Amino acid sequence: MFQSMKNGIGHKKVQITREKLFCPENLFLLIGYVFGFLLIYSNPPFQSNDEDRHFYNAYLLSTGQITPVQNKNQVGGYLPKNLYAVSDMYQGIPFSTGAKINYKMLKELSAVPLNKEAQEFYDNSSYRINPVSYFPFIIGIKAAALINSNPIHLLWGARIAGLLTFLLIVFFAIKIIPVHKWVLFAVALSPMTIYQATSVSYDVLCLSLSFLIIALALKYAFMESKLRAGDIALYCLAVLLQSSTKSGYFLVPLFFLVVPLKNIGSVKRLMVAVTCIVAACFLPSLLWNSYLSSLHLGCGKPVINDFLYGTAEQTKVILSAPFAFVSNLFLNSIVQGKDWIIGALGRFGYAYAKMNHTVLFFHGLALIVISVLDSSKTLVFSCLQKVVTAIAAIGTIVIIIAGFLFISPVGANMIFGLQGRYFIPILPLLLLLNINQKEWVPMAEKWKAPAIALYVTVVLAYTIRFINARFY
Amino acid sequence: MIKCKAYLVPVVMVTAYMFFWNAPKINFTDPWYEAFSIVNAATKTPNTFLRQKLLEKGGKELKDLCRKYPYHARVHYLLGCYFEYIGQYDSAIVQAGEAVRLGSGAVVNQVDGLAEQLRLSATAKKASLDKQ
Repeated sequence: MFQSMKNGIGHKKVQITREKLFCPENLFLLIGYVFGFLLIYSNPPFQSNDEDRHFYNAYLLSTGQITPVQNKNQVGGYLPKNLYAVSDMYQGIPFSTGAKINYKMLKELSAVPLNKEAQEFYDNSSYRINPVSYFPFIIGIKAAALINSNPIHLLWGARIAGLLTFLLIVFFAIKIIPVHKWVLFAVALSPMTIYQATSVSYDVLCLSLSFLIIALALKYAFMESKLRAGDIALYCLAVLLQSSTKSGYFLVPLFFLVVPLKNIGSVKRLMVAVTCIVAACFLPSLLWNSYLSSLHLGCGKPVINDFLYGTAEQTKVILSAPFAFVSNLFLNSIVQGKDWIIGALGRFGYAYAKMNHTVLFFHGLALIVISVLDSSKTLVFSCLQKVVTAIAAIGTIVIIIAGFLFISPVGANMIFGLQGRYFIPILPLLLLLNINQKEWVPMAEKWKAPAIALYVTVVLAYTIRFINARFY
Repeated sequence: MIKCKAYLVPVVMVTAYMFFWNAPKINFTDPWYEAFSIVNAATKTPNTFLRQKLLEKGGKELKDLCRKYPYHARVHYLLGCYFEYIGQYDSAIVQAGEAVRLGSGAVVNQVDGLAEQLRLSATAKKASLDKQ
């Protein structure tokens, strides 16, 4: 009897360990950590979209240059000459024509010292970006400088800090989300998501905080108890940080409306919460832009000027023909839709290196299948909650597409500059529409953990292989 | 019935996904690229009469667009290319100069370098024509 009791305890222990190992947040950490680090070193330096400019911004902030300064007709700050020179060596490499980076060049350039006394003025076209987006990278740069201050090592330090921040925030998001844990797991470990998470870019915080906001809203929606003031404050803090990184996602925080009134307490509390959330959405850009305006800086170096982009002129053109605007939105979705899907799943860096189309097509389908099978037997998602989800998800897609048409060249039909990765923050919301209590499959419940983990691992291994073959 | 209802949203999502992935190819582009594609088509046509017609059509559209959107550096550059092709080098130099003036110093999608090249090429061709 004693022996059988001992065996029972042992069996229980093994089961608990297995459950812990196969819980999505732990698997996410493990897989994200391994493939994240592989990507940091596989992805050539300064190759992610705008990574060079984001890195300059992060470096300027890490040296205390928070306020941009005017230097004749330029606006920016002071950078070490070597930092700029090393980054410049990696720009404009024609990967699309088969050009490659060799490891010898990487080794030589990673040995170039920073030499921070020899500085030059950097005309910063991206000085308007809110510094909050760069917090993790500032820490990464500072930490890397303690070990090796060569520019490439500083970049790797910044990438590592970005990855760790992403892993930490998404770990908590997966841990607290009551439904669709595996969907969030699969989206967060999708090739494009993890590629952006291992780049020096505001996407690190934008993506992870968007996932956290969605997870928090769902947690509050299915909570047994009433929301405390601290819960709302935490939500507002996440919204405040997320809206500091990128604009255009203001419908995502309003996903809070999925929380039933009984969980909030009263209409008055709901009004207060929504007011705080709306304020948190718009306050960062208002404050930062007002601060920049108060500096009376010149216009600085333009990012792009081959056309006149956006402005009141474009608004006038659109308002003069609203039907043409609507038809343009639709036609753009048809013409560019596939590119946007590819961009959300696996199109990498300045080289726009697209993964195999068949793999990406099936990966998109796999995410939909996972969202159908990852159902909950107990939690019921009401019709009203589905409507709120649809408005937040589809509304954000429409706002992003329409917004880009507004800032496209005056008189243009084609939307300029919209990349599929801008839709990643709302992917979990879009897939949430597939949640389905009526068709809960016990078989899927049993096998989904190892199956999804294995699938994600295979896709990420393929991604690393693809990046290595494409760039080196 | 319950089963059908439960799978309605995923089926709609998969259908939309398949539609956008395999969307039909439609001729939809910006007016300046459309006009320039007519000029481009003209350069590849062996039929002299048709070439002349296409050049006139494309050139007229580019000129109209330049009048409508005088602030677009790239439209001036495209019109400059058209003028260079039909041998109106003075006009090509003027349009290239305007493209350089409007589109200088950007970080991405620079047009000034291309326009500068066009200006040099048109100037050289004009000089060789003057010599003859």
